[in-house]
Amino acid sequence: METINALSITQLSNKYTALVSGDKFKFLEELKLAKSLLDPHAIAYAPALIYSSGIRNAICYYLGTYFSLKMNEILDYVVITGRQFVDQIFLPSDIRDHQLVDRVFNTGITFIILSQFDYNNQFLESTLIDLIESRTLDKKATIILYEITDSKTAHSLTKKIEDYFIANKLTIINLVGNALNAAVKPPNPKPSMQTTATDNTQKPKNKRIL
Amino acid sequence: MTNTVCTILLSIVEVKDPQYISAKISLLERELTLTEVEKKIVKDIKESISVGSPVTTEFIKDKYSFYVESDSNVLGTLLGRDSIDSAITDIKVSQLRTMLAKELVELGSDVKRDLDINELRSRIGKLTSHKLVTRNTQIPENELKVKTNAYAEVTAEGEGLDYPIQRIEHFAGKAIPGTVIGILAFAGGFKSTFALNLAYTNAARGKNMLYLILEDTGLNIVDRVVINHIACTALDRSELIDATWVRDNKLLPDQIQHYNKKHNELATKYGKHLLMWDSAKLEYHTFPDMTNLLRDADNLFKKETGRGIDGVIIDQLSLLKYTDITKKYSYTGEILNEWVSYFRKQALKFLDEDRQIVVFLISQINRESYMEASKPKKKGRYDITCAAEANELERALATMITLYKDLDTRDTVLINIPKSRRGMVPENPIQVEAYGNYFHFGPLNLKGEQVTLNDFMNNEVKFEDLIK
Repeated sequence: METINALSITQLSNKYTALVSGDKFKFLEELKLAKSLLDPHAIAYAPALIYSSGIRNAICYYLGTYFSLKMNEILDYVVITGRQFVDQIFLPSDIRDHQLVDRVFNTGITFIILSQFDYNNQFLESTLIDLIESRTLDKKATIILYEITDSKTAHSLTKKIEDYFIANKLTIINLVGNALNAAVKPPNPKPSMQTTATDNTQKPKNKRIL
Repeated sequence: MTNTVCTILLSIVEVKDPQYISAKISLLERELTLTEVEKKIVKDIKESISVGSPVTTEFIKDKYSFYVESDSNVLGTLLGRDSIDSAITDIKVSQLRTMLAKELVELGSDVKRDLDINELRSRIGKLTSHKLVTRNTQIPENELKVKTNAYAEVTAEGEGLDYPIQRIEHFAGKAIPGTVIGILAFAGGFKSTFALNLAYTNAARGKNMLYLILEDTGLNIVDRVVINHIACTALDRSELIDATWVRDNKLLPDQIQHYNKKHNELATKYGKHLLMWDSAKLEYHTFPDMTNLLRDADNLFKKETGRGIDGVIIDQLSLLKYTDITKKYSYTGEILNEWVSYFRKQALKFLDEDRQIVVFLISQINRESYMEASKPKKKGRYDITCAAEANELERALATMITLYKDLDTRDTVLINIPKSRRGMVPENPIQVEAYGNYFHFGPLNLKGEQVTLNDFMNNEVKFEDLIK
């Protein structure tokens, strides 16, 4: 018998099992941490920029599960580094992995993993913005996960993309230190709408610091 | 009094409207076999119209007196403008009958003279290719009329057959009598699994389902229905029986006992409502064969349940292209189109009685559509032109349901409804669980198998439940 708004645990488990990295018990701890820090209501199946450190797979797993349950559909996903994506985009057509690029643009959730090591192409951020724009039009979530290894350089590197998120009132969530104000819950999140921008003057509702 | 070509010719001319005369003369030439004299009269009429002075009936009677006077019927009153078309049809039917009688007599005498079998086939094919027209003498009743409860009549139609997935009904409504429903998928796309779930779901609700298995044995399909029945009734994962265990004869003694128990439970509970015939038991080489087969099934259901067939499932349509219909077809799709047309007629007027049934045609999707629907942007989004071979499906189907096996997510099928006469087309394909190893469509009714967003956010379902 069909239950509306319910999914099979087995199918959910199978779908995101590839994201389970390293020791299972350690990963479970990371997942619990991700769940305690991250309020997914703030993202509302829309683009988001998340600063994190060391728990990126757990964040992908958590958001994949959450969005699937929210949309009542087991969502396909792609996890790709910013560098790999930009390299593919600028490769000549005959050697480009078209299937991969097609999936990045059209899959249910695209996770772009960024770190300071991805900034070797001047078009990185503008290419990512194009991707976000295209996917937003198709009402699909794009999560930019910036892995902070050096908090001093992180925000200077991501300034362009952060400005884009602020200008478009999209969600920025910082799970690491005080570099940015912590997560801000949007006033009226709706699945089809873009959500919130970080407002440095606004007192965050949920301050989350790792 | 019988009308003749002569009467019709004179009646047309008597109308005295050049445009009308011209149209009807063309119709006459197209539809009827004319004698040499009649052809000459037609030529005169056409020439007179072209010079702007149509001939009169007197002119024809005078110039062709030998022809007109030989026809005693013409001495009566000529036909009115409204009766001319039906008189042409009557004569056409009469001419066809005469021609058929002649051809049959000739064929009969040729058969006696040891006619070659291929020649015989060709001659029979030629005979059956004649379109035998009839004229409906009764004027059909207008469907739009005052009723005491029009709403009740419309909603009664909604009491049709169920789909195994309720979300399909949300978009397409139930499968109502008088309609043909298409279930299409690419090879290995769960067509037969969906078909047997369709048969099972409706038989379980007391509907009489005839399941015609054209590409497998009845024994195999019964095994699949039993495995599906076990999956439908299981409350715990340990009760499930995997099809591969049965295939490899690996069931443990208690599982064998469970399997046999469920088999008999299925046969006892639903056997009266679910008739499964495989191709070894069927004669379906021609349309009359199929009609006889449907009649036999209908009688069997009447005897067992007091009611006739509610639904017929043809699994699958493309195998009917091998049927022995002697009419010459330029490609196999034409035969399938004829079969689609045949089943549409059966759905609307079952066995030529005033009864309607639902016909489910299981059919194949073409390779191009599959490639297109495999692209991430269009995943599972088949369109109405996806049917392989029989393009008649696009027109005849009331609802077209397509199945796409999702290769990215295990045990998942994407269902699209590119055509829905009584409903709406979903914006995105519907994601549905489909378990090939249990021959089951839809969620399993196992304890603790389902999870909602609330369960997850409130920690009723924990990460430990997902990562085992």
